[in-house]
Amino acid sequence: MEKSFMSNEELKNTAFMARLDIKDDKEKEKYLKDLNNMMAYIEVLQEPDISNLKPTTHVTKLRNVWRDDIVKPCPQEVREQILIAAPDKEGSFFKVKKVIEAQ
Amino acid sequence: MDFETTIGLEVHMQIKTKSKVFCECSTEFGAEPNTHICVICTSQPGAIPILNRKAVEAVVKTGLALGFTINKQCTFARKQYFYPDIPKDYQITQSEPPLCSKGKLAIKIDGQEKIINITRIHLEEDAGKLIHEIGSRKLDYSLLDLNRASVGLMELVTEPEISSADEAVVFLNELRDIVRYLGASDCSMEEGKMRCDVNVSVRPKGQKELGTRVEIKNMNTISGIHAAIVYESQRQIEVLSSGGKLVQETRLWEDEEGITKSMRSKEGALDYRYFPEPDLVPFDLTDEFIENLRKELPELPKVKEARFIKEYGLSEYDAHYLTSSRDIADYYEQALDAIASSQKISVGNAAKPIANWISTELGGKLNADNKEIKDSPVSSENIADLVSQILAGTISGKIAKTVFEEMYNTAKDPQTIIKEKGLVQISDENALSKICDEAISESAKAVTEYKSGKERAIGSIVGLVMKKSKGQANPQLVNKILAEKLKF
Repeated sequence: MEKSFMSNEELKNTAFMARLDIKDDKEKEKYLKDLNNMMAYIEVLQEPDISNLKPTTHVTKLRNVWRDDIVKPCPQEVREQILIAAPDKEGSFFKVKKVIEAQ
Repeated sequence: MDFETTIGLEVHMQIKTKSKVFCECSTEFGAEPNTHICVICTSQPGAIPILNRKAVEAVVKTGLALGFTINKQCTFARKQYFYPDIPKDYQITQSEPPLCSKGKLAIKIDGQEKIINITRIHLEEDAGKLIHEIGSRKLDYSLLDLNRASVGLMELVTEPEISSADEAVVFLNELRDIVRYLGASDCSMEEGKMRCDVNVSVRPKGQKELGTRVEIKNMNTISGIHAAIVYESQRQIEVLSSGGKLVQETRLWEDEEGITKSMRSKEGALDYRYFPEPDLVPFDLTDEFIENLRKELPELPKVKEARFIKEYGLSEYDAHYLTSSRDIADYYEQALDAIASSQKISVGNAAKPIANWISTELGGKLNADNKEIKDSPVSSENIADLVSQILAGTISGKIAKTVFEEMYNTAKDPQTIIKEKGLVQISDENALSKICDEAISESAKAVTEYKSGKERAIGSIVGLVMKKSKGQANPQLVNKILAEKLKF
């Protein structure tokens, strides 16, 4: 590998933001190698001059796709199924871990 | 050293639509938990958002009313973070450009106008609601209700140009009045339909660059916002004055303790990694779309207030009260229309008394019953008729209060009540003359006093006449008749 695109620190941050747990140094080496290869592969995109191009966010020509403001409730069975499929619930609430603490 | 405070606001207002912004679930407030949810707003795999046109219109209208530039071409973006109230692990919002850029709002501070520039308004979706306690019992986990998830939200961000807690409050009230007029949001803070993040910093007077900024998250009462700004700027001044350093951080307002507390997040440094939302196609709004919305803009509160003062000769106080909501203003003008079409008295004569009846008697009663004017048992036509009856001399102002009481309780029209209860004012001189004679013969002391030059003594005789006539005697006439009878 000639060029390194991603540092150890960047790998750590990227993994954290994707909520990926990297077990050990061996795994870290493997990810670094793979990611650097991928980034080398797409490096070719850096070459063309795009300074005169507007960013393309969508490739279709569709614009302003919207609906009228009408309520159509979801069938009760589906709603129940959604709750049942949740990892944890209490009554009709989803139950989740607490995340915020003020100090 | 003297310090000055700089404040910027981020205001979230829930958009008034029947269905959510990206799915067809109801936006009804206060429903049983997780009853207004579907595969889209709970982000089941493969579910794709579908945009509610009315939410877009509400944001553009608000932008137009506040003098914004509408960015006809813009997109939605994904703002990515992990928090349990946002089931997709990203929020659909807008990055650059938002729907509306660069607007402003003029506020009045100590009689002086001050322009607050507003950076942007964008359209996004609300998150679900997390519950951390049941009653007074704090939970060591959280409960999640997704009824609110994906309800349309507009976020408005001001420039850091507000310089006191008082200014922030005036700005928010002013903004709320306008947005309510537009019908774009109910802005009810009690229902969480208007929430505010407050950025506060202080700097030594004269210093150009802004001080270190602290963000106070999720404020939901006006009084809380005021108290939090006062507390936080004082805290920052104390830290700096004692040689300390401030850190840029997010703090929470603790209403009961009246202080802000540093918020520790397990997230670490946030990086939202915005990118264009692939599931929703871009906007390319036409001029026609925008101009049609501009045509729908109502007369805004400030303009209406000025017109009421000029056109109807109202006091600033009455004009302000009557224009505080579109419903009250409409009610008032409907009452004036009724006066105009009855052609009995002129609108010019009725304008002020009707304003008074609405702001004091009716306003007081509705307030006490926690009712809105649209639920008023007294119709605008009936309040107009009541004032006509007073101005025509059919009933006295005092009797009118009794009639009004009955109108409010029974929703009947004033003429029916006046007839049923026999409350017509007695303006027949012969009839009044008789009652006056009785009163004089029973008020020997007052008569003597009056005749010896104590003019005020006539008051007790008038009072007796009013009592004898059950309040129906025309007081001006009674005064006139008594004065004649008691002449030397």
